Amino acid sequence: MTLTIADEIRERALAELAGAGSRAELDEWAIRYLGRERGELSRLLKTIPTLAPAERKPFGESINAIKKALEAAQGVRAAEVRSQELGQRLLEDRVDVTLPARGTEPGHEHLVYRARDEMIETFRLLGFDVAEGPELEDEWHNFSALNTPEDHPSRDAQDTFYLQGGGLLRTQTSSVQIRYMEHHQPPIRIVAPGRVYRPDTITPRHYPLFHQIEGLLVDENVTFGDLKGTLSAFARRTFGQSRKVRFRPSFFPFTEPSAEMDVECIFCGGSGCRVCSHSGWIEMGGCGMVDPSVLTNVGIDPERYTGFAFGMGIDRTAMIRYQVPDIRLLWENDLRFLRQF
Amino acid sequence: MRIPLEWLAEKFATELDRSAIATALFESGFELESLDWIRPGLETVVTGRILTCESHPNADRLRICSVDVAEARSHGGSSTPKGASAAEADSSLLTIVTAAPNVQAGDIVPVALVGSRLPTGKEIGLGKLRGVESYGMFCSATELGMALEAPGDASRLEAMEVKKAAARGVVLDAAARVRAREDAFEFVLVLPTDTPIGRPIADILELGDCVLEVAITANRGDGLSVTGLARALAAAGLGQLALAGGALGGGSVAGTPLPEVKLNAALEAPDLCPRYTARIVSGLAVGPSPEWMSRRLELAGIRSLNNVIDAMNYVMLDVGQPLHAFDLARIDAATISARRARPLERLTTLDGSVRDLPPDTLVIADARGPLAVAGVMGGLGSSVSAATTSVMVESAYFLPGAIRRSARTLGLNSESSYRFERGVDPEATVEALERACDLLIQVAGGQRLGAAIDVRRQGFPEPLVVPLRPERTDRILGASVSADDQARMLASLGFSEAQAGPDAAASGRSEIYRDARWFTVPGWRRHDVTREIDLIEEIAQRIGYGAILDTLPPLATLPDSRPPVSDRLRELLRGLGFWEVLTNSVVPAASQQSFVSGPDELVKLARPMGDLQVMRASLLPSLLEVARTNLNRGASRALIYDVGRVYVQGESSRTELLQATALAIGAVADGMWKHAPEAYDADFFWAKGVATGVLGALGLVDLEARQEGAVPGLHPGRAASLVLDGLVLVTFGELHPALVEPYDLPTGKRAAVVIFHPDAVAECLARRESRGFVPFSRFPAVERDVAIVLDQGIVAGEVVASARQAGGALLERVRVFDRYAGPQVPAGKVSLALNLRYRAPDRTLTDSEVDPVHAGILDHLCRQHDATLRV
Ligand SMILES: [Zn+2]
Repeated sequence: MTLTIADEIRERALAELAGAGSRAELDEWAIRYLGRERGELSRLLKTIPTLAPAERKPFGESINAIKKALEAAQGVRAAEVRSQELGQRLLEDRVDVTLPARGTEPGHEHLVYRARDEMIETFRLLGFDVAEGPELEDEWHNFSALNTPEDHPSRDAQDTFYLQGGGLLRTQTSSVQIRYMEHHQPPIRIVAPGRVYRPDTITPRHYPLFHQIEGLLVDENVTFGDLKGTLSAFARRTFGQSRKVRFRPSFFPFTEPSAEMDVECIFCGGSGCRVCSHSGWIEMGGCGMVDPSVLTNVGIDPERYTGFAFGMGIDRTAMIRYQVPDIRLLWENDLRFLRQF
Repeated sequence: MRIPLEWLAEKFATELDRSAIATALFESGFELESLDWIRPGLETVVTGRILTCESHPNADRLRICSVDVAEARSHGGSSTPKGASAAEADSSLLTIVTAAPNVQAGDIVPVALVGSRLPTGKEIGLGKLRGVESYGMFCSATELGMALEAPGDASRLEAMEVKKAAARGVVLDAAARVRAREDAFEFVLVLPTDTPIGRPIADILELGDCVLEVAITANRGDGLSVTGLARALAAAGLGQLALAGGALGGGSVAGTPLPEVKLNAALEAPDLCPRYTARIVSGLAVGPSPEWMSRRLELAGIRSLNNVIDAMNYVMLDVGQPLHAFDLARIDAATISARRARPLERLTTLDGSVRDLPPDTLVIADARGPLAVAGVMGGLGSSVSAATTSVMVESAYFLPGAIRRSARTLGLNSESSYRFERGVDPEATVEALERACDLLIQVAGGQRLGAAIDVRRQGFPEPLVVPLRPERTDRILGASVSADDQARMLASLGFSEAQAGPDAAASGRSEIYRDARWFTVPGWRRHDVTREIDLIEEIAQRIGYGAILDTLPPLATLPDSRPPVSDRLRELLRGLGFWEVLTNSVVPAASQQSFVSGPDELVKLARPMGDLQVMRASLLPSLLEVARTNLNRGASRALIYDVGRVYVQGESSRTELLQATALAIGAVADGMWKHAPEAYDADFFWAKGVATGVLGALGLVDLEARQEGAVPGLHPGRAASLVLDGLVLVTFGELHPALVEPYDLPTGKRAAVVIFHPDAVAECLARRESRGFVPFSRFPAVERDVAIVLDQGIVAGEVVASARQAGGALLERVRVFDRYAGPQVPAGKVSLALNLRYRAPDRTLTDSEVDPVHAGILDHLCRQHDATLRV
């Protein structure tokens, strides 16, 4: 008879458990049926002393079995409820993701500096170190050591900013070549990015200061083929691995042989467009084998060592790559321009 | 240099392949800048695409077209399409009203822009056709100056029609072909659909004369003539030279015998003029040039003046040697000299200006005085005029440096000086003289009178012989070319192999050339080929740069340097929301005055150019300018930085320092959206957050804040530096209120400035690189809060420092978490709330251990700072 009561409690408890929809209801349920003091099963256990001795053991065992079954059912139900509650919470937490972000707007990198950093990174991969030199230069490093004749027009005040009390603002980063070679013996493998100055009137294409990156590699057995290979590798990494590169003869006082490097136009692929003035090619910069007399000027034996040097405009490269039509945009710093990069 | 193609073609015995010229030029070290077709009247006729074509509301036979002429639109017809840049053209779309029955939308046609005067004489004005303005006219082949009768024109257009039909999949029979080409002359010429738009029609149809524009680098004076370029093209394999040929060679006209004239010249400055040749031509008649000569000169960009002067210019363009004709009646030919100008000498030059001749100027003079600035410009007094009947033709060799100096000091440049500066052939002086006389006699009559003179410095020109070690060529180029092939390549350029000769050995040529081969440099290359490396360059060009194999030099070691610390500062600043800007380092002097203690500290330009006056001493003024510009344009705030150099003029030296300067103006937190904090402006403590945040991210913590009194540009009461290991890493604070007005910034707002010193940061990081790991305690800490009341003037940092000092090993950290001044504390006092954390490395601390230490610290603080505990 008592067993029947136990079975009845079990059926009732399981039915109620299925109806418990929250943690609080589950807790209530647990107290009601499984509570140590007042739980229904505990109360039933307390009736054991009133039973005949022979019934006590099987009765106790069956009550414990029911208790275990209820506890297991409680665990299953609790997991169900937790998962329901989590689902509910996730639903309530849902936000409008199109609302603005919290905190400040992100910063931006300037186009010219970005172009510079990208160029440096490529040359680092090619094993080049980064060197710097002064912008406030003297005539020796900017001109004479680079084989520029005394009466060369580039030395005129129309083409060079001179400083009060002597000296000048460097007109090319090539001066860093000289400074570096004065203090280092080969092997030398450097790039020197930096700012250079020329008294040009401001126009969409010209600004009196701009940025160049200069490269220099001097070692035993450096060849013109090495120059071509290095700069081609650079151009392809910058503008695409399948891009064509060409070198054509040119003239610089401090390199011999000298060359101009052109890259297949990145806009028309070589068929001709406005950007490349219908030539299919875009000029990247000048280069050449370091003139033996430049090496002699800095005390490096040109019979033992050979080398190459190159120079490229950073602002120009940035303008071509990002199709900036007017150089003044780079210096104006309108936030609406900066935001794009 | 501009040269007509027909002139160049004349130098070749073989047909000149026009499509190969550009490549041959650049392989020779020249650059073809453009290849233009010139027909007078077609300068402003361009290709345009008809976008829409609708019937005119007021006229049955008219249609209104919208035409895209790309960037070629001219303004008022004055600028040529080639000169019009994209920036000048406000729109590339034109409205054109046409009566042409044969055009439709999509067609590409020749468009005569407003202002054109067509070869037929028809002028194109801005017209109104039945109430609609028309900005140009579509042209037929006839209107372009082509003629049905001209076999070349007709067959060209017929070929074009066949091609157009083929593109539509139609094959024209003979009758249709004739019809199509006749239509092209009668109606508007419709061009193939792949024709580029906005281009001059003369270039597209190759109408008129073809003119090459060749860029010539300063070292290649030999390229400044038709002959010189032909030589280079022939060496590049473009054809067979036939240099003696051409339009020259007309015989002299015999006139009545003339009295003998004495001709004599003295080289008084042989260092500047080592060779002077001249000849007299007499009995000529000054007049207009024959049409072929004036046309070629004009196409080459030189104005035709008269037959005498034109002949001089023609031969100059032809062979590269500048020539000058003096009116024989106005000089004393017996006393010609090439000498330096004497003190106070002056000359009225051809351009009419009276010029004082600086003492070093090379002049051509006779006994009476200077006749010409040698190689630059003749004098007006001895110049050829309509009355001239006899001339002295001069062909001389002046040193490049001498002419460059004259041209610079006098501020005078000419076609002549341009060539002398770059070096003319000193061996071809007489040849040019005789050619000039030939041409002169051909076009102006007259005859040679007496003998030519050829006065030279002893031995001039000495042969120039240069050594070449063929294996050195391979080493420099990374190529493999046999010695004989190298010699052959040089020979094709005019370098003949020579015996070294005893003088080569005597002239100090070292041992290294013992086994070299020697080459004689041709006269026209003496100015840029003087050394072995120059010959190697010639060989490289002959091989072709493209044919030299690309290689990568071996890499034995990796570079030493790391990306500079400034790159990390830049990145961290961007992470905090700053925008990178690019600012000028040459700035107006006025902007820098408050950033240096005196004007002597500024590095100044010798010749300022507008706003470019001095090198900046601070980046802040430029940043303020950028902020102002953007705020004026509607930005609500500016968070900007630039990393660049500042320049300081010391007593005997100048220094350049890298600075990373950041400026924040406006609300750094804008209070929008429900989660955001309240809006607040960038103030001192925000700036300090930027400074410590950036440095902290680099691993630099526990920085000492030092109050700064007078940092230029900063509020004196709200400026500080962060110092570590004695190095000032960053200076920051609020913008000085006095700068608000000059820069037109919003008043009543604070702005933050943070100036990092990358060199010091790098130094600090380098020092810390060697530090090792310091073990930390894994036992729990005990924290105690306390508030003390003390004088307002005592700074928190001092209190923290003395707490540390008294705390001993157990005190791990002291932090100020509140500062209060107000009614709760006596006037002139503040309450500082401190949090002290104690920890031991090896055990859990008990209260009984902490209590005495804590009490000791409080006692010390009270005594040290005259403070009381707040309860
Ligand atoms: Zn292109």
